Amino acid sequence: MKQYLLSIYQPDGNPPPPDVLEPIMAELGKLNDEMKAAGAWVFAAGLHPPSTATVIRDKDGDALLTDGPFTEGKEHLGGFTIVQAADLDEALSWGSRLAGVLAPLAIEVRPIAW
Amino acid sequence: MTEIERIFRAEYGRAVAVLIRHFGDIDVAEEAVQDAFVTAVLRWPRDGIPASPAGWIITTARNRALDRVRRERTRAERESEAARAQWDAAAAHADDDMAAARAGWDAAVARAERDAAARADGTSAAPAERGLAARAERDAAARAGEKAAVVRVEGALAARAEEDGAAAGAAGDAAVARAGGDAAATGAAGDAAVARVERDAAARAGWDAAGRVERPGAAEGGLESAVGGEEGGGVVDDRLRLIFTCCHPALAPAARVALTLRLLGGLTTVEIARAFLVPETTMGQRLSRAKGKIRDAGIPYRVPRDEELPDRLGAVLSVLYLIFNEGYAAGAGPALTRDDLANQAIRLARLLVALMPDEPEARGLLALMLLVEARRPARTTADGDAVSLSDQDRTLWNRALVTEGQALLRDCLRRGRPGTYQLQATINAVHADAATAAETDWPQILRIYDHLAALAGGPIVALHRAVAVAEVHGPAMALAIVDDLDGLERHHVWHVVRADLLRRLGRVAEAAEAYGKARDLAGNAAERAFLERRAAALPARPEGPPPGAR
Repeated sequence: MKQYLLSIYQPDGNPPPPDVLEPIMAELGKLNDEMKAAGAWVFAAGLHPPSTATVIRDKDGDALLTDGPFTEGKEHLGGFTIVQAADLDEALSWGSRLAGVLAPLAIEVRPIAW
Repeated sequence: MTEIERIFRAEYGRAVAVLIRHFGDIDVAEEAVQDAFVTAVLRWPRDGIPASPAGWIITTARNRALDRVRRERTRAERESEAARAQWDAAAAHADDDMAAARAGWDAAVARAERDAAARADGTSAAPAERGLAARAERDAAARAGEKAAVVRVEGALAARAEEDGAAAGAAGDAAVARAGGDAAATGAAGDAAVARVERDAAARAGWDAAGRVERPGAAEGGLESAVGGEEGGGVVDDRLRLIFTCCHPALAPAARVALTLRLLGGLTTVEIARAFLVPETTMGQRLSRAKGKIRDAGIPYRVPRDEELPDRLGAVLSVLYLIFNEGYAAGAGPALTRDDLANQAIRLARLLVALMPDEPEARGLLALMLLVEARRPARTTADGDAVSLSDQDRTLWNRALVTEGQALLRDCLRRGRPGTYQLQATINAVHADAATAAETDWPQILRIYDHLAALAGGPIVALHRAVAVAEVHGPAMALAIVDDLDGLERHHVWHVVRADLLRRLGRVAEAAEAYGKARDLAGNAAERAFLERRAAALPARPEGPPPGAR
């Protein structure tokens, strides 16, 4: 079994209002349950916005801290799910389900190397 | 083309497909098959061509690949020994410096305690025995290909702790007292060793997969299915799996085309690069990137399940059609057609029809290719200039291809599952039925375009439909349709169609401008020359439509 990172990319700015978001989160919960039941679910997380991020770089043994995300763009990594799957097709089919629940957000599927 | 070259073209894809199934690695398969052909070139002229060239190539390639995998296993084992030696050296170095980090040490002690507890059957296992157990554990972890490097680091530390035996307490105190000394260096050496061990494990896992080949039954079964005539029965031809892998939608379209031509068509990287007019290094990178993605992302090597099949088959058909079209009207370069690509596409479509006889669209695509290919002798003059369909000498059309295309088409239309390729083939079959351009049954063609537009809307279909509209209802109605289409300004055919309609309507200045735009956008020199001739043939000054103009 290989593992795949399903990254959720979402536009910067405020999340949708609760009456839009809640049914989506309910569907997401159902999908996670289904992944668990299928033995595919490894880990899933939603992230706080990029404004809460801190970037660290090592400078001669000292940690240099910078406020904000590593890259600024119009979209950011909003959350991710790690699944295990027999092959890319299986991972893509979970990814498609996730994209369906979170439409119109884009889902990037990437194999985990180790 | 020599006999061996012919066999290479015909059998390369089959051999590579069989080898990929056995070894699970495209590069191993390709290298082995190429090696086998090199051997064939040396031996066959002397010994004669074997009764079953494909069987000979596959057997030889399989043996080559097995040799290679064995060599790599030996090397991996040597490296693993080296890794162990390095590991011991790193550990010894750490001991000398008494520089184990406190955390690592705690883990080691905890592990040692846990091990001791596990063996609390009263017998105090000798330290050497426990050391062996720890190493065995470590090896088992590596063999299983587990990625828990941490476990192994702990294991090694635990082994050390056990080797130190009862002195652990005292040594621990000493270590803690001097902790932090050379921890970073130890860590780096340890990481290198772990990486080696992991590679070793991966190599072994690869070998395990390959090892299946050594089971005689499996090997023979594979060879039978590849060489014997079980196609269409219960056994899936490996080439069919390979087509679906090469045309996987997760690969970029250009990469699908290149991979298909390379792995199934047996074209070299240089040949593909030349056919698509890109530098060889670019094509080489495109191919190796695609193969890397197949390997690392786990693109499967199998025929898709029924529910996925329509989409996935569509992707395969469009790759073949893309190859054909690139051969039909070259996107760039001096010549109008590149016969070889068109022939490759037809060959691959024939293969697909043989492998999936119940798919009407595969048959429809082959019929379409044959009907269009039949016109090749009439499409250009001896000087290489393009000749439009209405001006072609139809006696030059290849009747054998027309007949075959029409028979295929009748056969798939009978199945009552029409699709875009079948409909496009039908349109070309109507053209083929007309002995002269004037006898063309345009109302029939327009009806098929209506059907096609309903099935697969889109501006390109609408543009081609407009040509039929012009023939049935006149150029004015067609021009209104064409002018209404959005997003085709960069598409040279749109300008060509507009120019012809404007010419027929006597709007000469606008026609000349449209021919000019079409010429600027046309991909090859022959087509540009054709459009320049068309523009030059326009009347010198504006006038009404010539008498009898349709």
